[in-house]
Amino acid sequence: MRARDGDKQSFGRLVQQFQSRIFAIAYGIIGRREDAEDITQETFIKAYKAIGNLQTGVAFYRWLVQIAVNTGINYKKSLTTRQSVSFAEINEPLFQGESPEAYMERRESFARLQAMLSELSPEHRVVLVLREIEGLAYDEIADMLQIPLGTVKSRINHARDKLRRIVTFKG
Amino acid sequence: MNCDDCRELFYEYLDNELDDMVRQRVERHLGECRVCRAEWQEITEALASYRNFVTTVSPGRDLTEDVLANLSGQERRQATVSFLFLGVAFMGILMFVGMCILLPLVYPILRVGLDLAINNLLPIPAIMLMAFPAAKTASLILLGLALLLMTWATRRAILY
Repeated sequence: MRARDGDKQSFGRLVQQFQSRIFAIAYGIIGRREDAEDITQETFIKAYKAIGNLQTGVAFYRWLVQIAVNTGINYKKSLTTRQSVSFAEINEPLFQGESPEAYMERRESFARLQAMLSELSPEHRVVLVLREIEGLAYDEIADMLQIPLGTVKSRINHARDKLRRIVTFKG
Repeated sequence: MNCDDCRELFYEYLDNELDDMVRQRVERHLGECRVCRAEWQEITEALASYRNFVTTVSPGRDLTEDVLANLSGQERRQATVSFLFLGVAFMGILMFVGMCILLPLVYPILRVGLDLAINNLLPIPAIMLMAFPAAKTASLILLGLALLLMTWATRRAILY
């Protein structure tokens, strides 16, 4: 892997390949596009600096996800101490060519979702995003976050319970 | 299987963690029970909304250029710091070596120059004043006036 030898162009191709997925993880943790972009950028910079230490055989993407998760949690904590920024600051969903009514409904659903997620701690958001977006198994999440398997399960189920309320409230 | 049992197994069913027999019982119950089926739909709908929420937002720009520019900037800053550090270290070594070589040569000359200055130049004002009493008086008067002026200026600065 040429990126390991400090080849910036090769590393740039990796950034291009993985930025959307890392952004989704960051967005799942932080809930604001601008902050998620910062986290994504920081993740890749950290990865570039540490890529020389990446052991052969360790999957690059999994390693990158771990950096993104740690960066996201730390970023969220630093935001909490500096200012109150949360999911409650609504990001407008992208228009996907649907009817205005359907778009408004989706927008409302997004707002409800943001409000619900803002009640979850960063740790809960992390396990939720790793499970539901990345599709990692419980033991993989436990291994990545260095927490007991039972804690992973309880956090995911707590987060899922919260999400269910969105549908319940809609009805 | 009753409704409570079924509800308790929802998330395990979702994660495909049930053995075949239990999974079939859950599916059978969901097929028969409208209430549990509605709850199950709530879960799947909520998770679908969540996935949609997270994955439909994308970065506002291509971050590749930003990351590469940031890395180049950091490398430049690091190179500047290294250059400055090495430069200062090199100058220090150069000065130390220079002093070791040059000081023994320069010291006698400096010493002679200093002696000459102390012995011959410093007494000149005193000799002049002794030779010209009028200059001595004038300089004393000037000194007194300067002291008065300084006192007045200090007092004014403190009071106003």
